[in-house]
Amino acid sequence: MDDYEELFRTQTNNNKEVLFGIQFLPGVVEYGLGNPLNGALSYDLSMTENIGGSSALFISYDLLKWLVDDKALSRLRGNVCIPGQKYSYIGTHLPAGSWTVPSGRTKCNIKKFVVGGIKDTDGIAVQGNSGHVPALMRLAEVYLMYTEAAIGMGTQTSDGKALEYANAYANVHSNSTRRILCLIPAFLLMTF
Amino acid sequence: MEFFHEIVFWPDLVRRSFYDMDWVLNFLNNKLKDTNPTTEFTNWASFSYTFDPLLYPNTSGWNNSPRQQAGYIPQKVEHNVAQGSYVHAPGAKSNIWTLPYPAAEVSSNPKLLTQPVSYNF
Repeated sequence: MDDYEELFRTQTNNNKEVLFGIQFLPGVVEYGLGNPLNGALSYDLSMTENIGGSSALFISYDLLKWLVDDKALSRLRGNVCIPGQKYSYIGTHLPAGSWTVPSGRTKCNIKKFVVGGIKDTDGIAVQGNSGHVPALMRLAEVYLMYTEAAIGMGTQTSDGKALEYANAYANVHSNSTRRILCLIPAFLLMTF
Repeated sequence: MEFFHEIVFWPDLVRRSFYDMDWVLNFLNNKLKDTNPTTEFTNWASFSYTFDPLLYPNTSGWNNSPRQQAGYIPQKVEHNVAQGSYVHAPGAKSNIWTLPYPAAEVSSNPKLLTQPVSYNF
């Protein structure tokens, strides 16, 4: 995967990064067989084309601060709804053709596992079941384990493979085309 | 079972109750909140913040963060087991809620209480 955020889309179910995940049944509405997190976590109904939303579950201060300070934008906006962030693959049923996190709430909603509405998921998502396969183990974790093992009890490594894996991990999560600067509104950038 | 699902540390409370029932009852009765150094993670102020880059661009999005509030106690994990050991809680007063090794197992394998070692493969 070139972009960490893509992990949370039904279209990327069981992609090459996912070593194994929970195989929910797409389209099934019986409780227990589907993935209910789309409706349980989404910011509002417009985000999911009215198949669930208005969650009151928010990310904790400590975790949000860690994500913001980490400056890996793809991981931040892939996991959390940050006001001003625009998602081109969510809200495709809306006049704007996309969904942008509104401003005004005190805390930040969770974006992870919210895949959007029916159109956003090519008809896979239904009420109560996003059809999304959440990854339980990703290739990125194996990369990190390899790197950790290469470092061992030391503080650094010259193992070429370990460096390659660590860099691959960092690139996917930071997504260099969308740096953290995007958090600053465009109008503010223009005034400086 | 309901408690088990709703509170992720319910099994830890049950386990701790076997050797530290007073602490568990005080915790469940909310008597330790904000006052006891072992329960700083329950400090209500730590749940409150505002992050909105559109409304608060001059502070990089932050406003009303816990660290700006009077009386906020930063959350922290206190690693108070013996230096060089990462694998066990020393007893009832430990701030690390991990399962202590039974004495019989430690007796048969003293290395359970020593620092893990890395290996090459």
